[in-house]
Amino acid sequence: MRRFVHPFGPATWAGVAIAICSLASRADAESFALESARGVVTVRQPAIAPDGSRIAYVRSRQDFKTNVSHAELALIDVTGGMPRTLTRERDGVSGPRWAPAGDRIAFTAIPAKGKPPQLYVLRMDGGDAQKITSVPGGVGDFAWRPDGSGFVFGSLDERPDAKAAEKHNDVFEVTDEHFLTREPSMPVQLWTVDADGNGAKKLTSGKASLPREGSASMTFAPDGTTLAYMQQPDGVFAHFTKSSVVVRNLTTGAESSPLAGKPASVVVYSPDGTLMAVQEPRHGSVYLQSDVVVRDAATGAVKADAKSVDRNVHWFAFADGGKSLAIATPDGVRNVLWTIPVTGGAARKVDLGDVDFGPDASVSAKTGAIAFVGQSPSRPPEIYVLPQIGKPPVRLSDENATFAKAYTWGKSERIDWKTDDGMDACGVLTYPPDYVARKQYPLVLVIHGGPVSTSTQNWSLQAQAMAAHGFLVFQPNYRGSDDMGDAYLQAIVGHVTSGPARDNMLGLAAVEKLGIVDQKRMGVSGWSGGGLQTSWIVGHTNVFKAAVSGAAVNDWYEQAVLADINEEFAQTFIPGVSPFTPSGRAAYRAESPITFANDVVTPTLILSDTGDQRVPITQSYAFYHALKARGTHVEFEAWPRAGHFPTDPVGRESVYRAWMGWFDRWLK
Amino acid sequence: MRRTLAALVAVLALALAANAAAPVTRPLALSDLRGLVNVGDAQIAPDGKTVAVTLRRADYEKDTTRSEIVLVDVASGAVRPLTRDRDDASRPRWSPDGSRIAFVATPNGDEKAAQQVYVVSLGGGDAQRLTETKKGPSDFAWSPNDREIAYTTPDEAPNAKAIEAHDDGFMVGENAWNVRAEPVPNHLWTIPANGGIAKRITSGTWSVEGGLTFAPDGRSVLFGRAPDAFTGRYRLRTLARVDLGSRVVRPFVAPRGAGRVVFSHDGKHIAYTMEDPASASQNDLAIANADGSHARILTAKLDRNVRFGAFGPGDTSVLTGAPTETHNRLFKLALDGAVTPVPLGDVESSSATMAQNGTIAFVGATHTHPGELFVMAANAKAPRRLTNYNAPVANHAMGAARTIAWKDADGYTVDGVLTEPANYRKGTKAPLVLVIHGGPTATSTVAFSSLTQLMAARGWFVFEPNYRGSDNMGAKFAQATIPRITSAPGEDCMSGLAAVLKLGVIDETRIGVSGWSEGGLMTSWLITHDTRWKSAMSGAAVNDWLGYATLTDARDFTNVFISEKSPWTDPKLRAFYEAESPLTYASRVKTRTLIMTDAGDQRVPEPLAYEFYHEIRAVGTPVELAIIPVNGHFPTDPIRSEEVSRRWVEWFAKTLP
Repeated sequence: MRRFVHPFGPATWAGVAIAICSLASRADAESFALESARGVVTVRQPAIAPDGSRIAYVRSRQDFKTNVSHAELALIDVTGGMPRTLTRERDGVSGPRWAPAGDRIAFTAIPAKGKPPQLYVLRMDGGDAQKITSVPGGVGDFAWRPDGSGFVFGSLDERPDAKAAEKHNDVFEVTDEHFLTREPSMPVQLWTVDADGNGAKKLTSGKASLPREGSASMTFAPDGTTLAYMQQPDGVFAHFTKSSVVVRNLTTGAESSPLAGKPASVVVYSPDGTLMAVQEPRHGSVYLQSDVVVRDAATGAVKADAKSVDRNVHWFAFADGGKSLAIATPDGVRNVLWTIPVTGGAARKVDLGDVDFGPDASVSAKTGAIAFVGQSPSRPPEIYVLPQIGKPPVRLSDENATFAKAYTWGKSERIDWKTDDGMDACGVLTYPPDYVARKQYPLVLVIHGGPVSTSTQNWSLQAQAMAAHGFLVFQPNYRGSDDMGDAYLQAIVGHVTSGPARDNMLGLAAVEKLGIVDQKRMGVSGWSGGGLQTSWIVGHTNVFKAAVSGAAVNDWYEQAVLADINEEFAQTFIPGVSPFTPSGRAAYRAESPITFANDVVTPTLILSDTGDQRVPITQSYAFYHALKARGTHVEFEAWPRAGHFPTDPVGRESVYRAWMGWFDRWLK
Repeated sequence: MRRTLAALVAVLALALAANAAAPVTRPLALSDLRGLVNVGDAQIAPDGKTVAVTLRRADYEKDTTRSEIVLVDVASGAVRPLTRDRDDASRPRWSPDGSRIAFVATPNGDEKAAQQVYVVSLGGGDAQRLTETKKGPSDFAWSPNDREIAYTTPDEAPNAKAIEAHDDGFMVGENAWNVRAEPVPNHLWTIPANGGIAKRITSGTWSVEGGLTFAPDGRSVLFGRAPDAFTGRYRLRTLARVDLGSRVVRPFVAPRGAGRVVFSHDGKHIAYTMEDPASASQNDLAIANADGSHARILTAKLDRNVRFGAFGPGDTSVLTGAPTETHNRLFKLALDGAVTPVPLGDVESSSATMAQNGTIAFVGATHTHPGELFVMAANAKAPRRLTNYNAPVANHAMGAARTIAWKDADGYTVDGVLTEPANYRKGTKAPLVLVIHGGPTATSTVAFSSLTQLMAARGWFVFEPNYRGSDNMGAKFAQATIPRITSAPGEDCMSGLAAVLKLGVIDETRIGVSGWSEGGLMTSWLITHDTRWKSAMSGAAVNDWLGYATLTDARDFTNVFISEKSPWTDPKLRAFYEAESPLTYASRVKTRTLIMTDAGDQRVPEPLAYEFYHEIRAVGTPVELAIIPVNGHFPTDPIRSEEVSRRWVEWFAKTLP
């Protein structure tokens, strides 16, 4: 739960992060298709018991009939064996946390359809889980008190005019909300409750809010009364960028904040409570690279920093009894684990062999073993344990064994090139599974979003499905990606669209040099920031025979005005100007694909969710009508869903099918 | 089928009320409007003895509007209910022989069910449900021999099964930014009027868009045909005719923008509304032979935007109605086009139905009295009011309305309505609020308007200018806003304001400006071009014409009012769009502004409100953005529409003193 999900990132959509599955049938002769992955089991949120003996994790299966993913809590022994299901007939199971004594597990789940999640406690000596809370605003994040006697948690306030609103008098004002907002933004308050469900009490009130989405990062000092957590100035989602660390004495209610006003996204106390490790943006904006900084818990003074890792931090924790930090980041086309002494110094990359460290992990308080979601090129993620740093990781779950063996997977390899200004760049090339050397194949660029994220060589539903259709699939990590360090990431600032586009075209040139690309049959595609790249590229070159532009930022001005991350996000990447001045408007236009839409001749498929609050569908309408007006072959498919990418099984598969179908139609 | 930015301000004339009561001098308050009874859709029986009308009353507890159909006796004014215990009975239509009435209503006890067509006999008995449509009838019509009813209803989605299996992605076309499914076409069905099996007549990806009329021989049906189900290219609609036997569909000779066809009593002629050749925003009335040949425009002399046509007794004249200056009026047109106004006195109406004996029925309003049912025998000297539901509203002290006319910079005569504060003391100065209508194809009249009177009740003058593009002065005037869709009307509003200020009764330090839809556009424009305003309320405003053209459901609007070319491929046109958009000048705004919009406005897309809000905020001018979390161009439910009126009035109450 330490992971800060980049709000504009592909983590929400990319095939990369998608889960995978079980196995459906056999099928030696069968080639892999999108539908083949319906049985893949997704694993996440591994929580290792304090004594390191067992790991609880969430696993989910997709149900294409009811179109939901069923999540349940499973338990697996670190010595191996079959996992055991812990929760039955519960929806929305999430966030397992062991009680400090290891005798109970708390989690959140949805008590009934359409209701907000509540907190549950499961005794590990038997019995149904007990619902601990019944708060109208539901339970977001939570943490055990160190003595196991209860919890703190976050819950959304009711709107003050709830009664009138219930009677339809529900008009309200907005400020920095996104354009699809239909109710006022309320703050998430801090609550406490005893482990038996008694004594539920709201501890805070007022405007300030725990983060509206993602982790509040609640962390107790060993005294059990000092709690640190993240707080934003109000309940408006966009203001998560203004989150900072609050330290609160739960007995007196006093707030002391050595780091008040300093932007941060995650805070963790060291086991002895003397230190605080804080994930902080290096350049003041959480939209750019974050580092871990070790601070004195009392004064906030910097004791050490982990900048030598020089990769964007996705997860971290105290390890080795509090003597070091374990830090997960992307690196090149992989996800890796680093350790660094809490006193600072050189970061060391942990050798995990061919296993990638998915940034979803927990550390045993007693043994220091790390449970994590492990990734590899040839199978969907599984639960792993790293018994000790320096020892090899051990795969524990085998949820997708049959699936992984049922198909021949396309090989993925790293491609390196230099950007036009001399930086090292890399990307992933995936080959058709039946690839024959020296033959030429059609190629599809699949460009990630973010921009702060990374395409890795790990198993990807979309890349493998396209490869199985006979395409080379190239996923470039253009500048702004978080796999090559701060300088590379930072190089996007001021050139949010044009800079990455140059990198992507040079990456393509590096692939073409291999001599295996049929240059008459190349396509370009992407979602979100990858859609932005696609729309831009087809406005600047005609080398592609077809394009798929999904949820694209086609117009930075509209993005600044309408999106949930609004003008602050845009101003991070197009710095120094306001979009609401003539010069700013011009700068925004200069980096917007819509400005060049009249130059597009490439047959283009536009895709979007109707209810996308992150990249408003309005920008897809503009690109669509612009292309249509000039006579370019353009089609536009929309999915009636809220969100930046369909999260339901049918919707997600349907997007990939449309996407791939377009290239089947134009490149074959 | 003309689509406008909705003349909502006029429509804001909420509902109306019950029994007569003693006059009260207290000015109108918002709560007084809760008792309004909305009298609508007056349908006179063929024999002229009875009128069926629809009464709508708001239920503020359940936040719905209930409607019932009542029969009003023309001789005595006696009223009796036709429908009972139905929440939403409406659209009564007499069978040609006058023995039955068809109407639509939702079957009892099932709020989610679709509306259906019912038939009730005037000889007694409960109404019989005729249709079993899944999505409700869009339009229906009686056959000349009373035996059949033709109706349209939307098709099932072709991918209904996939949708059921959650695979509901859809191809976008000429639709609004917030649709969540591909639109499906309407098609024509017939069903025996005594009940029986419905028979599908038409099918295909094209769509039947209303205007159903049986030919006199009953063998074919005329209707409006759209090339597809998308709303955007509404101007591509044409008239077609289907033979009920062979089901062959053929184009029916008629010019662009032709509306519902009506046949003369002898079946030899037809009348229909059509786009004026000189202005796509005015409807003329044409008559032609029954086969469509020899069509000629009957309203060249009248030169107003007519609403309907009905042949009079003996087919020697045609009744029509239209706004003119600041009034709604009915006219008798001789077959040579000579115009005789129907002597309505101070009653305002532009829509009526006519019995065989020439008696007409209509819903009319006066300056102080919301709509009631009126009838008028052929050649009568004045209309006769049959209902008095809204006396409790009418009894309040109202601000007096008068017409102000002036010349604009281009020499057009322009007018508008100036309403005094209620209980106004002559000679005193008072604040002024501009309430600018939408459309632009609409007209502010002197007829009762609830919003206007709520403001007059607060002691303000209210000025409602009929800027060029309004449909009260003829085709040339309607056309005069093209292509300067914003700047030309903006000039007229300002020259109108100057005319009002000349009267010397306005406190010039306290002037507010407001409007919805195109009136919101005007408001946004006026605050970017003048700083005299104390405050502004810009509702559902077209702040950005490129954004509008990209996202609206009425995609032909800019083709009509600006240019048929695309701003995406023509840089000059693009620059013109920008020049006519308030957004371009937003950094000049110094006026404290309230912006309101429905979250799901498909007509004037809600994102345009966010654009303007962010721009004004960046300047540092106080601005608020209120979101009404419903779909549509204006809230239709009682609670939220009342809330919009409340916020609109209270905003000026807070900012004008």
